[in-house]
Amino acid sequence: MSELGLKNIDADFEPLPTYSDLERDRIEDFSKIVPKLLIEVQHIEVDENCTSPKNDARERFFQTRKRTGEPLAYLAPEFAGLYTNQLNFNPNKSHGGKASRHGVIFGDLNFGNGNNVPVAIKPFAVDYKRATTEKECLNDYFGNSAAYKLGVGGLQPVGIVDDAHENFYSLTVLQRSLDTFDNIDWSDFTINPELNIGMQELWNKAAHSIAVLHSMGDSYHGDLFLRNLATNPEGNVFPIDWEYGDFSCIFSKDLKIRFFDRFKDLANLAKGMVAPINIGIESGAGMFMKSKQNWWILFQQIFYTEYRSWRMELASQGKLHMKILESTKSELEQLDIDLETEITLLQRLFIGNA
Amino acid sequence: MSEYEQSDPLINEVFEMPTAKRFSLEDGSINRYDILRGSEKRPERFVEYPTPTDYHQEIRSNLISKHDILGKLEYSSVSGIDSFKIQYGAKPILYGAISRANGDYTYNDSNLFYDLGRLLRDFDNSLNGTKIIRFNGSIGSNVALVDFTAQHEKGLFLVPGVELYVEISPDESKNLDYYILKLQQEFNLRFSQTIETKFTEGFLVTGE
Repeated sequence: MSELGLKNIDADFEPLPTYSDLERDRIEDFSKIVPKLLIEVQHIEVDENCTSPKNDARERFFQTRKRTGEPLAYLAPEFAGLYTNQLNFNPNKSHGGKASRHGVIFGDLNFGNGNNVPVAIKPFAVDYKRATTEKECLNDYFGNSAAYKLGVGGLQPVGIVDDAHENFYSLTVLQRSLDTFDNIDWSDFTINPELNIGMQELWNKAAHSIAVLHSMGDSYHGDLFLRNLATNPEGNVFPIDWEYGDFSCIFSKDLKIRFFDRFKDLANLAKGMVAPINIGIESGAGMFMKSKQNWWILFQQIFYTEYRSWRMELASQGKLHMKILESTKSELEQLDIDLETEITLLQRLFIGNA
Repeated sequence: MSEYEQSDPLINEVFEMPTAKRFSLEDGSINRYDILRGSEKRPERFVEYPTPTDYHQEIRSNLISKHDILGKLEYSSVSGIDSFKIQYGAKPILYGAISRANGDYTYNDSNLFYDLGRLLRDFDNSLNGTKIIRFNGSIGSNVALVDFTAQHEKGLFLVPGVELYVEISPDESKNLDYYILKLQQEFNLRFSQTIETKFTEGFLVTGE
């Protein structure tokens, strides 16, 4: 109580946790649980011939997995085979991490006998029903598994951890040599071509990689922001983090639904490219902020023209090419219109002079 | 154990390509090349450039002894080429985006520019004797970040060949101001007032 008899209101409130506290908590939670884990082998394989390989594998796992009430790890066979009787976690520090909604953490799983596996760990905290959170985690794990198996850029899956309490975790092999597009400063890209010689190549490859994905049946990524486009020293470019995506080699959905999935991917990408740098979780790369040109034209020059020509090229291959070519053409014509509208709106929103 | 120590020296050289632009530490003005070499599945990465003179080698040796130089000197060939095997994912800080996230396990720009201050201070002190020197090349292209390191490991290094960008400083007391101006020009908004303070702390710290 104060001298005037007033209660100190602040004392009743816990301070809000900072990013730093949350990061430390996540790492401590995971580090504590790892030595206690019971290890099971994750045998469910993704079947790429299904209409939805990710959902199919997720449901098969969900129906057959054990419920012991103990902390449990399902590890892919090549990693479960490393387990003797010891498992520990040594965290890494990282330069990125600013844009992860999930708060991904990094480190080495130490299996003893000198066997260390570098891993990226995505936590899923239970906030409503355990089963709902578990399915979100399984979406991530099997989304990555499907993308990895189909060669569209998923990271190698390691396993799933259930701490039997508050968290699930999806684990992939950490490729320390990967860099994501949100870690690159693109803000001078359109106004300083001399400085950026060679960097356009990354966007050409991104266009090819995304066009390949969108040319595979009903496949889409679902969260195609810059943080989920990765590159490596060999210059490969591919999408990562497939929690919201799905894959299929079969064209099954309604054309309108297929269009919407592709439009969402490209609109997310465009938003990530053009949104200003410092607007919190929705921060973008501010790629066009310094340019006086029309953003839709810039988007076409940097990415979309290449993407479009790959879509047409890929559609003209294969047995059903006439039917697919026709459908792709309609889809692209609609994308032209809707993306132009979307990007013009973004320019008005962020600059006000489109 | 860092990546370059895990590689297998017995792999036959069947693959060679320049490292992609985002990661490349190549610098044409000092004939420094950045190459991926080895088997296609497990290539290794090398930075190679003409063997420096004794004067430059003295600077380099001092920096190596302080663990400030990226990678390990593999060989110095009779044809006059020095080859450093470097960490596979090392990348120049030149293209890096702002990182302001804060946490015990986050190596943000405050940490990065603090360490950069220490590296440049080490550079200035790397010539035995009385000459006062400073670095006059592109900082963004000659400093490399190795991401995802253990808590005790260093993540920021000078790129081999950095010693070739040496000049006699007109006034040692003005080296800090000289670097701050250089960083403002190279990093623009990324080098904010807060970051400048961190850089200065790193540059002025003693006994590390």
